[in-house]
Amino acid sequence: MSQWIVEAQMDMRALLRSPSFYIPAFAFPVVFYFFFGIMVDFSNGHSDYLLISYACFGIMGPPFFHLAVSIASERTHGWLTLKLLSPMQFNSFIFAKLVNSAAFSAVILLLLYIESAWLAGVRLWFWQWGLLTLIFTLGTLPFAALGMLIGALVADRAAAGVVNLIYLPMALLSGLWFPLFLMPDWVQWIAYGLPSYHLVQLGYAVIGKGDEVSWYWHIIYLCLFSISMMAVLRSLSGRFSGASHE
Amino acid sequence: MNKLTWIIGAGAVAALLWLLPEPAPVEDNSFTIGPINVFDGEKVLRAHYVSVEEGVIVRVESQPPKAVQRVYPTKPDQWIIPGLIDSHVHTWGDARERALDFGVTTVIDLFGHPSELRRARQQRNSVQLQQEADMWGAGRLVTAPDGHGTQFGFSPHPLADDDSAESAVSERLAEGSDFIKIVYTAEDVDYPHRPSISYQQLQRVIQAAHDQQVLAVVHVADHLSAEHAVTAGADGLVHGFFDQPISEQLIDKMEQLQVFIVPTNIIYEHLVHGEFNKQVLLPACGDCFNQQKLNNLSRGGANMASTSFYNNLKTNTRLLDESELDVLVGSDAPNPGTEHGISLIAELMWLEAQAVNWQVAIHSATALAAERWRIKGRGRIAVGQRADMVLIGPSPAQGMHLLLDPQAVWKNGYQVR
Repeated sequence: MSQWIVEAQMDMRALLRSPSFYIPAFAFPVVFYFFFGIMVDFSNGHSDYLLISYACFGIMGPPFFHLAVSIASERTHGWLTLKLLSPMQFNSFIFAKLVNSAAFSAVILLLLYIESAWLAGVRLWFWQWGLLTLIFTLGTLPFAALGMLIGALVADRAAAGVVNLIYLPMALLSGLWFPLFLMPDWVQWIAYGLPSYHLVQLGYAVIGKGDEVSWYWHIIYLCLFSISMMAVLRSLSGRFSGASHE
Repeated sequence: MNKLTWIIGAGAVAALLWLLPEPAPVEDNSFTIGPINVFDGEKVLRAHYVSVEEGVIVRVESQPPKAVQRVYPTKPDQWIIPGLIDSHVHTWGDARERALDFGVTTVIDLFGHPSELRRARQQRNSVQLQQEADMWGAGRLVTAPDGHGTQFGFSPHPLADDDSAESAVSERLAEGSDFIKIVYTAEDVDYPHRPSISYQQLQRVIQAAHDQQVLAVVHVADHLSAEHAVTAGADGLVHGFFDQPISEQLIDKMEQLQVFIVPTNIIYEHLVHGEFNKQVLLPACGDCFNQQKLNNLSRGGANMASTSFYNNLKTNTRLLDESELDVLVGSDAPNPGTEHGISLIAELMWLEAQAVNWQVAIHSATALAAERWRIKGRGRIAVGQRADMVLIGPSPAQGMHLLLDPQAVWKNGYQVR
């Protein structure tokens, strides 16, 4: 177990030395929420709903970027091969990245909570704040799985671009930036297939604004999505162990 | 980054969550109010006691209840009336929350995205605390390709041909629509309008709705179209008109067929005159409303300014009041010149300005609306009804402007304002 903790600590140290990773991860959701959740009149009285939207948007970033970019980089440069040759367990490597992504996501959540309570007057019960934190922290898993898949498939220089190509449209098509009903019907059909849609619906349900689908269907979808991503990754496990693929 | 750091971090997160602000606590939804004057949606009950148990009215008597219950303190000149029903709105965003500010506890959404319908249905079946008015809705319109409604962008699935009438109705009901709203303009009307479905299509859609046991209401904006809609079998007209005074024949026919009407006078007044908000509503409101929204109400208007149209509007209000027709009160918010909640009060003030009796006006916005929209458990202060109520003072006979500043609003028995 200590090996897992040491790996997580080393990974966290590396992340804290990368302001180019965490500053945008913190700033984007906070700034977006400030503009669209507080300043824009359209959102008047809807700040709690938009808090959930931007919380979901915010917590998607760290697992996507951290898993995809660092795995692609470490794989491409052969560090992963080296690690796999060492006595280190591969699972501890993944565990470290999952835990640290979740930790960064939790910080984003707290920043958004403080911003929404202070500037937008959002008032939620303690159990709602807590449940949202739990949902969105655990909710990093499907995005981490997708991030790992990207990291396993693309070169390090392309990873950030590919993540952006998936992350931003996924947020848009899930209704995290604009309400889905303002978009064409076909967008709504796409949304049903996206993990971000199901995660944000769980968040909306906590404040009584979820869709008509029971919450457990969203959880089932998110679990199935994560499991299928992991299954695909398992079939690609050979790609983790060498730079020769690039 | 040792173990202690992680533990401290987790503790800090928990502490921060604990420190985040919570909503103000509310009393439960069981209480007695009285002695208080009650307008129950139909008649006045002097100095009665109204008891509420878990959001439902369980007793309305002139004697206080024997059982000990939390008592809401009252003053001798205070009144309670049923929560108001706005019979014509379009909701999104915080519309239903804003409606509550003015005692509007139920809204009839006559064109909105169907995604809201199922949530609204779940919500209105519950007596939990909620900070929104209940909603019954039409969902998507039935309209012609490029017809009225298509300009708003969320695909109203226009009616392409006669044969699609039945499927259009079934599709909307499957999406959760509580009734069918049809947009219709007769071919021979004087002023240009967007394309409309044909009279035959109108008939078929109305028939299809009736086959499915739901109301079919029609958006019209002129006298001729209203005649057609009534002849085609509409249950209600969700706008009045100002192109001419309503004819005796049309009134007779509507009475005979029991067709109701939601005249939406305030939005028409804004269109043809544009002074009511500025001269009547805003001075009475004072600081009752968000200043920016108030500015919106007073801005613009009179795009079709015409003395004859304005006179027709006033005449029609009088003729409808003199008739036996069921006239409901609707604001058409948030169209230009209207805002959710406050514009229903403006509509009531318009009726008052045209000498409509206050009991008739409030009846139209409560019990009558619930009856005509087939809404159970709303619109009255009576045993078995949902405890949606508005406290005002002094008597509503003093003027509808009192509703601009309700002293309390209960939704599901919870005091939400």
